Amino acid sequence: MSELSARYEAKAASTRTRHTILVHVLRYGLLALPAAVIGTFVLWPLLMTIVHSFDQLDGLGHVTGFAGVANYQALTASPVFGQVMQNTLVFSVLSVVLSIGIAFVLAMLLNARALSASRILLVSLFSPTIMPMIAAANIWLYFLAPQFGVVDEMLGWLGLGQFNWLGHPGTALGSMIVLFVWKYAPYFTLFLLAGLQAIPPEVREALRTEDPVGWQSFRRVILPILSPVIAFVTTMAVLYSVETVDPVYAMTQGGPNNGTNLVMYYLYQLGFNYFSWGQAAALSVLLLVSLSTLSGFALIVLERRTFHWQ
Amino acid sequence: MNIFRKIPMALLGLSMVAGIGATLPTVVYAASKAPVDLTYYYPVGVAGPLAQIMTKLVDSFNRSHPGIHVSPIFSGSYPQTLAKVETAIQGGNPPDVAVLNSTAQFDLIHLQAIEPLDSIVKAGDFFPALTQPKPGGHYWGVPFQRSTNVLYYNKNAFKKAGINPNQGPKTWAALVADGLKLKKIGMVGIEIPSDGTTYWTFEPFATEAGHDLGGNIGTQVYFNSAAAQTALQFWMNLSHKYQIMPKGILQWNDVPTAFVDGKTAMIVHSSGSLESILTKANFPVGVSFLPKDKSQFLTGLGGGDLYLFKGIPAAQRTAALSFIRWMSAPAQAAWWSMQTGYIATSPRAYAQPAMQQFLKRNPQARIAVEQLPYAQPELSTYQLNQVYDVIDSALQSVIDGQTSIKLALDQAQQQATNILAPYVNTKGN
Repeated sequence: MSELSARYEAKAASTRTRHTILVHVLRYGLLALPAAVIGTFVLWPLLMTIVHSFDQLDGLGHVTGFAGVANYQALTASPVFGQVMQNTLVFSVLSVVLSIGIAFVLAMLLNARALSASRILLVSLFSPTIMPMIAAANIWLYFLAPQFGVVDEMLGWLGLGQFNWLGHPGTALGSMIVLFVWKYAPYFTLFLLAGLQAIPPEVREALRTEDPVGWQSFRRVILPILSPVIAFVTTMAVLYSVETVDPVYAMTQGGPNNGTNLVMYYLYQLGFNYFSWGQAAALSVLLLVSLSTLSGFALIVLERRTFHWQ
Repeated sequence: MNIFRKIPMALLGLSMVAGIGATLPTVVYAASKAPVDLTYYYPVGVAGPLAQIMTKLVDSFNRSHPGIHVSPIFSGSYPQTLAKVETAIQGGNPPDVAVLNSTAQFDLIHLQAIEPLDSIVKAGDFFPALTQPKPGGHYWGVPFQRSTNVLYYNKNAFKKAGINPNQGPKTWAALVADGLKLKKIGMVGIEIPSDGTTYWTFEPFATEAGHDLGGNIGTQVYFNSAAAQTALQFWMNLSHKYQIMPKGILQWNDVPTAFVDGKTAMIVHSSGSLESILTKANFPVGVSFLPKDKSQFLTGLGGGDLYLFKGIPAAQRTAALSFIRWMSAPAQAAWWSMQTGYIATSPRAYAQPAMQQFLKRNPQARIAVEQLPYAQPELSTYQLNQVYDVIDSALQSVIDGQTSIKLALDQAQQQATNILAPYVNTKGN
């Protein structure tokens, strides 16, 4: 009897072992494919970029020797680099502040009348967002064309003169910021609106009776509830703005006088127009470090400030 | 028995009956061989529907050459096309043929991307001005869409302002005088594009004032010469002192639009924009040489050549050579010139009967080729795009009022010298 049960147990154990092995194989087998894809297309190029940023590269990107920090020195010594950094800073700060600010106001307005005509408004607001950036840039290129563009035409009705918007570094960068806000503010509105609508009706009811003016409830309740969403959209806005390259390519090619040369476009120029692959790799590494620091920092803040209903 | 077996049988029977058995092997061979596919990148650098015209030209080649199929790929502006070609080379998949700036040859040679095309260039009898320079003693590009800077003017506006409509202003002083008269009748006197390829519209003015920006030496530029400063001061005077040119940076593509809209009376633009301007303008258009100052009617050459790429299979190489030879032959050169306004690249192209008739109808098209003896080589260096960006930025920063002429040009000279330093001892190849 005991012999028999022992045999059964041994058999069951071996089945269990086989079963466990099978589960492991399946588990890692399933993981292998995505891991291979990430390894090949993300990690390996990332690693090679870091390595290449310290290499001497010829015009075709072949390694010809070790460069130490020479690529970084050459990159930062160029006067264009300073201007590009300044452009990117101005563009990103203004784009982020304006798009989030406008998105916030839009979300509050839409939330206040969520049940009435806002659906159509929402759809029309959202239309720039679903448009590919390159198409949006071409539409704006037409809007801004001097003499016959929509913007000049509308200014003409007001009796104002024609203006070459993309012809001056300042106004060209301003136009880029307007394009960014036009495209992304409605997108961020959606997130903020979702955040606002997640506030339970009884909380809203309580706020309305306790604080009819609304400022205190806005500051002490709504803002803290929304803070993770705000932190999230801000992080996204910063990343999107630093990554902006398509409108530059389509509208100004970084000009006039490098006035709209943003860091991603400069990266493209360094590599594909100037064949300075070493400097391009160095700039990629700088971007990688700064962007991951930024988003890591944002995630930490996000986690700490997260509001829990319980 | 299916249809595919029937055809050769039928052919065999037919050929035997007709007694042409000897030609059969070739027929079968040609029918069984897939056409050689060629990839061909090209840019559009002037006004007009050039992409459509190019597609027509290539279609006509494909129809007349059954063994070859060329896929034309429109690749943006000249620098964008160069960037795409460069990417393709790095990916180990170069195009077979591409049209790129004739000035890009230094960089292409340095990248070991192209093959010399000596036999085609020598046999082509092209205008000598179009086949210079010869880095390393070879011809690297076959002249294809070449142009000069010309002055377009509105003849109606000239009449209205009391200026002789049969010729454009011949000197810088006459340009200013005409501009002032045109301003009085409420028009913009002149527009010279200062965006995209600022160096190209600027270089003839600098040359006219005494020195070019560097020509085609490859490793040396003269951005801060007294001549360049004089020329830039003249541009600034047009917009600030005489106020006959709009202030600020003028976009390459907007300038012809302002001209055909009748808002601007004179423009400097590529001769390659001629056909598009003639088609769109509803007034008689005059074309003339650029005005002279110290020397005589100097203009700048520009435009693109056909290049053959290294590292393509032998069958493709042979097909690519036929394609380049066909594209640059007098008949096609004449057709392309009539459709676009680019210079037909050889005297033989101008001797074509169709071209002769065309010139009778459109005498304006003569100007660019008559200008060739005065045309100066386009600024051409190693690290071309970077050097262009340096001089373009310097010119634009002055035009936009951010920097003084001297400071901007001195800085540009310094930057360009640094960029070119590693190449100074490189001779040609």
